[in-house]
Amino acid sequence: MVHTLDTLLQGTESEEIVHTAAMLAFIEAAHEVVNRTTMPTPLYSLHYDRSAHTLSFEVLDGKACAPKEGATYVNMLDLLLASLFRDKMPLNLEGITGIGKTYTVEQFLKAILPSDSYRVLRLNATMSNVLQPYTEGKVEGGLVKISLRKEELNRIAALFIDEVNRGDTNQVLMLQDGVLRLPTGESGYLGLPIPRRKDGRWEMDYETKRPVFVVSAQNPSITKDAKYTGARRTDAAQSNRNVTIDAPNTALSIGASALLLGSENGQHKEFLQNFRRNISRNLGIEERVLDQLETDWLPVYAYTTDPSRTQNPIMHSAVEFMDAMLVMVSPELKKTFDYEKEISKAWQDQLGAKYNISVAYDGTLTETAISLQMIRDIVESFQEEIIPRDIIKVKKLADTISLTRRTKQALQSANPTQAYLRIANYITLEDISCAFAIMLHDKQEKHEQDPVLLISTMLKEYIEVSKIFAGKVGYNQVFNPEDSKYSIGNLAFQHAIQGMGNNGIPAFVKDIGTSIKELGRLEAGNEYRKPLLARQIADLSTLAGFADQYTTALHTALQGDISQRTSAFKTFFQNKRKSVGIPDIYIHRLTRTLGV
Amino acid sequence: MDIVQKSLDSAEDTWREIIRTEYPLFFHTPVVKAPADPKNKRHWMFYTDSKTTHMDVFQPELIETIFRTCIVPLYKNAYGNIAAEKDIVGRFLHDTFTYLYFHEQFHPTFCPDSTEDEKLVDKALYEGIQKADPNNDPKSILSKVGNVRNAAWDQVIDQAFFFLSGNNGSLEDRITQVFKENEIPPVHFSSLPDAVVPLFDVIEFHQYHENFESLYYPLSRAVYGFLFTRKAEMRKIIFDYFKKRTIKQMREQEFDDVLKKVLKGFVAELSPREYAHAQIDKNEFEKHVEHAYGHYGEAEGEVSHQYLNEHICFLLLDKRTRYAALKGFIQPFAKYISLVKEEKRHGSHISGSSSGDAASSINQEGGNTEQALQNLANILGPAEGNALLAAISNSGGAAQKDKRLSNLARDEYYKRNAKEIAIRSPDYRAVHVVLGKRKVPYFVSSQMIPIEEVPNLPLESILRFQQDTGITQLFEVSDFEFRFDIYDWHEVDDTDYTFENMGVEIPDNIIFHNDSSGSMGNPNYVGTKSPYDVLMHLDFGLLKTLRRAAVAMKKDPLIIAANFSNGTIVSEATKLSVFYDSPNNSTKNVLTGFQNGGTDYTASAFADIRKKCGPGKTVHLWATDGALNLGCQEATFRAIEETVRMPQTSFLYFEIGTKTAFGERIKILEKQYPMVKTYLGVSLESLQKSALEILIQYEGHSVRDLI
Repeated sequence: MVHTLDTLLQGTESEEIVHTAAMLAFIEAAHEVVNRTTMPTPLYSLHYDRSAHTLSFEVLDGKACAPKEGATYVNMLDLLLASLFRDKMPLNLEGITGIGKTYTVEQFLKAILPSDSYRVLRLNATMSNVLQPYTEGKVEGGLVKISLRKEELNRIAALFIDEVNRGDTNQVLMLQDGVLRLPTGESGYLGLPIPRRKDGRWEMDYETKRPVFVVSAQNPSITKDAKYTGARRTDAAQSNRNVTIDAPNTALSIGASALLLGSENGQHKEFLQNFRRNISRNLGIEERVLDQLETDWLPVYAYTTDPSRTQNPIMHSAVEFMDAMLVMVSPELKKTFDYEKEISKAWQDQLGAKYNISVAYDGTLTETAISLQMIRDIVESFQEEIIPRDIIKVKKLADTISLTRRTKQALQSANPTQAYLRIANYITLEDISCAFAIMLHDKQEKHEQDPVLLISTMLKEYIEVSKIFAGKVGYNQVFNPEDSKYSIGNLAFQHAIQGMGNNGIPAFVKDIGTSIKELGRLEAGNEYRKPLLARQIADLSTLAGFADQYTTALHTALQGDISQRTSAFKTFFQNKRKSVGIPDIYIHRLTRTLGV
Repeated sequence: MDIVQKSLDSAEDTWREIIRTEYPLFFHTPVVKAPADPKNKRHWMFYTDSKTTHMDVFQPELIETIFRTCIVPLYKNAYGNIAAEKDIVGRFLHDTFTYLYFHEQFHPTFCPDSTEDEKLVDKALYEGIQKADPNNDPKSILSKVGNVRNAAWDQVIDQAFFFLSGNNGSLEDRITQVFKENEIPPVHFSSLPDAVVPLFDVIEFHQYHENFESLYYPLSRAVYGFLFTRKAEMRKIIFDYFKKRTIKQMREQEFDDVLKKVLKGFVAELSPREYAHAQIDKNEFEKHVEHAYGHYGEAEGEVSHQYLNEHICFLLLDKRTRYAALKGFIQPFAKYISLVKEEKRHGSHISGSSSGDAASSINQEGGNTEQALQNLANILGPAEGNALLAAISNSGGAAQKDKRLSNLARDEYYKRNAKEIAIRSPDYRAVHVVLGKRKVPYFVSSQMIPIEEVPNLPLESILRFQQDTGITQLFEVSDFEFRFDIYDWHEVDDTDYTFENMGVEIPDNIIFHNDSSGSMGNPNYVGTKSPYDVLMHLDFGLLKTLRRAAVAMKKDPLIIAANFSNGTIVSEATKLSVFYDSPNNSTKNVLTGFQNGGTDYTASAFADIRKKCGPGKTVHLWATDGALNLGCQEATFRAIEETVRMPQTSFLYFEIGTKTAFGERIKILEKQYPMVKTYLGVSLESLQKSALEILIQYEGHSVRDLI
């Protein structure tokens, strides 16, 4: 029984409204309390120009700047909050000693949680065991015996690991994965159980927990700054999971204002008071009815910050743009390009004569091109190559940016809850491009090359190709990142579905062939457009191949009304996806082409 | 600041703001502006090396005057009084400079955007010019390619700029947006003026009052005036301006014919596949040419004009059709292209383009013709490439640029065709070998840990460390304390030793003695299989091996050439890296020179050579096809014998295609001195089959010494 949640739900009976109100109240209260005792640390300025479709990304390096219209400003607290609300996005703050990394995180945790619900670990050469909060040990007869403290598994909501690069990577990874396994064989899942409503009652879900919130901080490794002996470079396994933020020195910008900060006592009590006030306002209820908030806080906290409630769908054009970016940042672009060409050529061998179409892409990539050399210079500035985990990281960051943008926008209105619910909650190409800017910046050790140039280039190329292609298939040529239909793959697919008429799958395949031919004519002398085209053509030719392979079954599936054919086709694919023996290429490619 | 300088600076801001969204990769392109220089023979100059853009305005007052007196009246003629003169002058300056910034940036963006693109354009031009007149010799064709390639690149990028900055594309939208946001006066001009592309040439023509030395330039400006104007009124003015100047030197009928052929030429060389890709019907295209040309100054011609621009832009931008389009485009122009001067748009070119400037240093970059030659040699097939190189090498010419070109061709020919000759120096030595790196632990410090804190230690890593290294880290010292020894890791080289036969011992001095007497061939010997041609294969075959080995061993020996025929010409000593890598240097000129006289060697040359050598090992390589003249034989033999007696000296004697008595004497010397080696009867076949292996030995006792 979670009395507070029951009370909140009484007024609206809509969990979506309650959760939104709670989330906004939480964020607002966190800002109110933390900003009283801590100076904000400006990190990034992100501005997506919706008319020109370009991105401006600036690393603020701790210096506050005059606000520009339309820009989203992200500071350390925003990232901490976003990391809290999004799953598996552990933040790692890296910076020199004394700039406030530890202090900021501690103030944040002190505000949002009672003191026995979080732990601060400071690692050094001897004390590098990050599992300390969950284990107890004793020495018996010269042997060290360790055992799990099971009660702590469900009680600790957050962990702050200071000097994380002095610790054991495997242990840190275990914490971030949320599963503890001791050499003794004992294991357990970390995090708080989440209250879920079932049959009119609240029940604690121990199966799907609110993951423990892990934040870490470190000085630069000895390879970056020789002063920090003992501070190793975080290994690739760990750095690939973290979002590492270069914590800047804000001393210059803050100046003497730091002397006028509030006292560091009673932050959590103050936070609860503010939360109570904010959520009451958001839901139009009286504060006094939330008298059990303090007792219920951990379940309310788990409910409010449950990552599954703040997930957002991603626009088709955002998926395609992300895909185009991933191709361009591959360390062996020529190989990737040739691979895409091989795919479409392979389909040409199967479909060309049968349908009298051309689905192969015959463009060639000139590796000595100056523009490709510029791109290579940027890609080679990354410490490690892009891996699947980075793709997930981009999506999470995009989610974060989207969430930050929407919550800040909502909190400026008179009715934040309603305002938030009115804002479209998709992840768009805008969010993806901002996320890429942060992720690629994070991948660089030195920032001599500007990855935003690459992102802006691909934005321009993707949008230009989309617009021209949209014109070719009779769609609106004004690019709209919030139009769920607007993507090259989807437009080609829809056009082919419409073009089927009564002529069935052969007409569908031929129409795809025509689309591919149009795409192949869009190079316009840009070497860096070719990988995007090669990828799109390979995806569409795979779609044609799929239709050809399952012609008979598709013919049956698409018998109904023409208006239902799109969803029937997608449903057919989704069912086929689950079956044994479906070629992997269909799962890899059609998932994004059809947006399923 | 004067209006011209201000316009140049504000145009840079405009251009950067536009490309921030349109071509972001090039946003940080550095721009260099030279200061005013009234003594400069040019009034302005713009160029790029693909990394930096140079915008040099040397005579701003003159530029301002030209705009005021020439450009403004042109526009008033077309459009009437559209704004106050001071605003218009500033605005036209700004817009012209903006276009020029784009022009220079479009080179690395579109053409030539890579070395591959550059080669393919050269090939297209070569084939086009060759097809226009099959009787033309390769040197003439090459010269024309070198002189017109810059202009061909300009045709591509100016077509791209003209089309993309109009026609409702994103570039046009962005230009309009930036002009509006930056409020460049007069603010009601929302975009670049019509004819901004050929405006540059109007200014150039305005300053040039003589007859044109070749007609390519004015004819191609007429093409610009025809194609790169949006409105018929402006087209009439600009096109007529260029036409009027050109037909002072040619018949009007010929002018019209050439221009129409040039326009039709864009599609003349396309293959059926290329037509399909470009979605062009040849007949339809040609009809549009006739119609647009016939009505160039009228609204009636606009649709055809638009059609032509759209399709030509596609053809030139898409690399599947670019080269065929250029091949067809250049053919009608071929006979008008200068053989001696670059047809560059005055002031706008890529740096290093002066073909034929006197070489002021060994490392001076070649001009356009030289670059074109290297590109063509690479991209034409092996047989055709070799034929071209041989033809250019043997073409001669007294002018400095002809000599440079010829030297380059010769150098390229032998570098490509001479097979590496195996060289050995028998020398068995112990060699230190690094097998790789390995990590070893090193002790950092010790700490005493109370027993209750022991479980908080990183026990797993401690166990792992102890297992991997056998080093105990954690010790129970007492019932109350443990000692924890902290270690860290560092990398060290894992080394071993082995014994190797060191294949080549690179000498410190390499001297080539080349016989260039009449019996060896003639000055045009490249590719002729004459004895001197064989000698060059031999020399370059040895040089290739030595160069490769020298790089591997980080050594750079000195090269000296001694060319003997009527006399003995001894070169300066040059480092191998410079000697080999640069086509034009004095030592190489001596090595490859051909005197075509008798067979005399001046024995005192050996002393001269010794003075030029550095310390260390020396190898002499003597190549001839016959005996020396009797008068110098004895002195020369003595000099050789004296030389081989010197320490650390090797002497290799090659007779090409023959065996002589002198050669037999050297063979006897070989028996006495192990560092002398003779190779008699060397042939081109043996060199090309890599059948020759050279042994260089620096030490050994002569038989005489042992007796």
